[in-house]
Amino acid sequence: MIRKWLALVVLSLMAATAAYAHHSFAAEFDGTKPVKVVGKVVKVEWANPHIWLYIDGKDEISGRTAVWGFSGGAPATLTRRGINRDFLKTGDVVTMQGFLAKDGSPNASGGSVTFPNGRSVFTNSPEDKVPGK
Amino acid sequence: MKKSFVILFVGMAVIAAITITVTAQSGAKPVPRLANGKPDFTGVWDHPRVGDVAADVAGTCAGETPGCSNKGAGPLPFTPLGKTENERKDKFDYGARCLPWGYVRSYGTPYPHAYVHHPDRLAIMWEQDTRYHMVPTDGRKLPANLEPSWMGKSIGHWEGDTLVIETSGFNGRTWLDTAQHPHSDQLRLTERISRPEYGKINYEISIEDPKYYAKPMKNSRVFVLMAQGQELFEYSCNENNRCEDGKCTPSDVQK
Repeated sequence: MIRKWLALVVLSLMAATAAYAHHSFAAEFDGTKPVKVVGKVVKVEWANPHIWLYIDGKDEISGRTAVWGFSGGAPATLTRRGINRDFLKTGDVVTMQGFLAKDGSPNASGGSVTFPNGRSVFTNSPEDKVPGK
Repeated sequence: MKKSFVILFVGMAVIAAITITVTAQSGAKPVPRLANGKPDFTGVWDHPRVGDVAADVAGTCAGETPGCSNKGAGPLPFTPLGKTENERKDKFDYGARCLPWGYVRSYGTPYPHAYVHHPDRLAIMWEQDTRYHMVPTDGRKLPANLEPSWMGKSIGHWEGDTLVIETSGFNGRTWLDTAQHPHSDQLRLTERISRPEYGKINYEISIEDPKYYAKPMKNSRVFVLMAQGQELFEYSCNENNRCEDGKCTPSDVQK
C-alpha cells in the first residue's frame, strides 16, 4: 500500500516536472502513463524539433504491440552530448521508456534507450526524466 | 619630501609587479573591446534554462555548460486581470505550433544563443527556432507608435561598460516562460548586460507590465561562454513537428 502510494507521488511529481519541461509535453503526452517497449528499431528520424525513434515491439506495461514512436531531444542537444544520428541502427534490439501520447496513438515522449548489453543512452532534454532512470 | 616620493614610487612598482604576475598566472584573457572602446559581447553563450521566471536556477546551462544561474523574481505580483489570464484553463502552448517563443521566453530556452556585436548594433541569435533580433545602439529612439510584434522592438545605450536595452511593442501573444506566465501588449523590458570576465556575462532583466503585474519583476542571470569551436545548430521547428494540438501524425512505418 505504502509502495503504491509512493509510486503515485513519484509519478505525480514526474508529471508536474515534465509539464514545465517541454514546450509541448503537457499538450501532447500524459505524464501519468509510462510505457516500456522492448523491440527492434525500424526507423530513426533525426530532425527538428525532436528526433523520433520507431520501435516494433510490445509495451511491457499495457501489453500492446505496435510500431511505437518515441520523441526525443533536438538533434543539437544530442549532438552536443556526443550522440549522433548513427547511435541507433535499423534492426537494433532496444528497450525504450517514455510517456504515452494523449491521443492514445502508439507514440510517447521517450527518455532512455537501453541496449541488450545494458548500455543506456538518455535521448531527451535533461529535464524530461523517465521513472526508473 | 623626496624620501616619501621614493617610498610611494617603490610601493606602486611593487603593486604593479604583483598585479602583472597574478594576471599572467591566472591566464585570464582580457574582455575584448569594440572599436568604440565598449565591451564586445560577440560569442556563443550558454544561458540558464529558465522555465519559470519566478524560480531560481543554478548549475548547468541550457546547452549543458557548467556555471549558469538565474535569481528568479519570486512570487509574481499579478493584477486581478493578470491573475485571471494566468489561471485560464484553455491555454495552449503556441510553441508547439512552431510560433515564435517571444523575447523573454527565448532567453530561457533549452538551447544557447549567440551575440554578434558591432559599435552600432547588437545582433542576438537564439538557436531555438533559428530566431534573431537586432538592437540598434546608434542613438536612435524607439518610434512612438510601434507595430505590435512577437519579439518587440529594441534600442540600446551604454551606461559605462553596461549595455542597457529597452524593448516594447509586443503583441501580447507570447508567454514569459514555459510555466505559461502571461504578459500583455503593455510589456516593457529593460535589460542590463555586462561582461565582467572574458567567459562570463551578467544579464539582468526588468519586466514591467502594469496590465498584468502590479510591480516590475527582475531576473539576474549568468551566461557562460561556450567552449572554442562550439557553434549554434540549425533549428527548423516545422521540419518534423509530429505531435500538435494533442494529436500525433503517424510516420510511414506506423501506417
